[in-house]
Amino acid sequence: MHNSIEAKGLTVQFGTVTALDQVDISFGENRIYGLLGRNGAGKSTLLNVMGNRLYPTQGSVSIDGEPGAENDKAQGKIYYMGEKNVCPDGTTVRQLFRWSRDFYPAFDMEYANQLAAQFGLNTKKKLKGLSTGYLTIAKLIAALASNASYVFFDEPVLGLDANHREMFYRELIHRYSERPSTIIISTHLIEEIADIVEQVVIIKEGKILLDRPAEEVKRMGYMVSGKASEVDAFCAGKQILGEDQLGGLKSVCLLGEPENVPATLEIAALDLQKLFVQLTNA
Amino acid sequence: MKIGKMFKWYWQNTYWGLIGFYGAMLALMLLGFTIIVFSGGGDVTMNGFSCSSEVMLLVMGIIFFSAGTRFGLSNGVSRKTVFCGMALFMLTFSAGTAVINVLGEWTGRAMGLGTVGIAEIIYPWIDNFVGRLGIVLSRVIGGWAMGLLGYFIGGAYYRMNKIWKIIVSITVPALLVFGLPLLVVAAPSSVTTAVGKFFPSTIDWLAQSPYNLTLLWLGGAILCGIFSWLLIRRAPVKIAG
Repeated sequence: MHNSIEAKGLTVQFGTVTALDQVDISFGENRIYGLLGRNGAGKSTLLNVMGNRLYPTQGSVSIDGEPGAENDKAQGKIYYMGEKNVCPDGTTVRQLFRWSRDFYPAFDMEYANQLAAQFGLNTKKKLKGLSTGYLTIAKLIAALASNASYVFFDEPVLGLDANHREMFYRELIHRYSERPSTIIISTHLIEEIADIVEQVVIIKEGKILLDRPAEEVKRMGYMVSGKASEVDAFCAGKQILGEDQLGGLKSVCLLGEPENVPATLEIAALDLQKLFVQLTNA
Repeated sequence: MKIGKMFKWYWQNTYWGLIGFYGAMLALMLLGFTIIVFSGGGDVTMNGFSCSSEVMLLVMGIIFFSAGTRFGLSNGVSRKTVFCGMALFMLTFSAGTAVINVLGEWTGRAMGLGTVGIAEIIYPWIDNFVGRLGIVLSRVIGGWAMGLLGYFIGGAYYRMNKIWKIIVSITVPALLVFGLPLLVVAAPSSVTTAVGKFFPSTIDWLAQSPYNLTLLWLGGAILCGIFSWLLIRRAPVKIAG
């Protein structure tokens, strides 16, 4: 029994556009993944294929060793929280929770109602009548309470204010520590999830560019800061990922391991967003 | 398979419509009855039961394709379960409405209303149980076929892109309104004669027994079911906006 989602040779073509190109990837048990990529890189397409919402042109997906496509049992282990509402127009929040319970027997209704109260979400309201932020909250709650083995969050904080985003991340970690599951977060807000994810997957033009533990990714480089002239002197000849300057102070992200750093300069761990920008810009 | 869960979901999305529909029918019956009472025994006829529920099933089918596909696939349900759940629900729903319609028509007659179903107009000579059962069966399968036809139409529109939607929306009605009459006028006499013979003979065959009508509906239901399955078997989740 392999407790993972394995994608092999996944290719998805939309006309002449190749959204996924021979993707081989595995999402292991009880880990939090950050699925990162620029717009149109293929993040949502990959999640959609793994969740059986889209048929691949080529390749296959297996869930815990079983074929994933058109398999009710295997797909019942996945909860997909997408950007758009998939319920009929008249659906209320309460109904969304009830239906989630029908299709995901481990759904925790008490926890869902508790979260709704915490977020200030009126469960009697229709989904169509909710603001973008509250619609997102309703879907987030259903996903968190689903207790599915694999939970996909595709742009999970769309329209949420800073307070609600904080609440969500806190709740996600809390829930994960109580009931571990495999969580895949696809987002553009890299800085916000940098401290949450255990594994970073970067996708570019339909191909997996990087798939490594977050700690390892952070050790791929480092940030050095100090007086601009001293930083420039130290960085000469090194592989620079990005730089910021404020007055006479400068900070630069570099690839590799810090060696012979002058005592006047400060060293810090690499910024995931800077690494992402650098890797996906090239 | 989660056929039962999908069945329940379809039902939860339908029962308010069903209550509204039969509420309206009941209101019409009461209105007719009131007219009879106050006019001292006038002649009030209503035959809405005969085909209104079939139209309702057609509309339900059109809506179900997109709604069921989006919801089902997003909640861990496979396409074949979404499809089988729908087909089973449509059949059950059609059977339920057929029974309610028969009861409604009996009640209407007891209230002094002229509630004659289409099948009773086609088969006025039927007065035994087997014949009446055939009429009810033809209504059940007829409603099912209409539901599956609606599902096919809904599926075809769901799978088409915007350009094809516009083309089909314009050309199909245009062909039916202008193309068919032109074809009849322009067709060689041998063809019109053959068609002219085919239709009356088919209608004669249908008029022989409600079981013949049931067979025709069943053929239509199977055909619409096959085409609908071809549309859903690779359908993606498409959400407007």
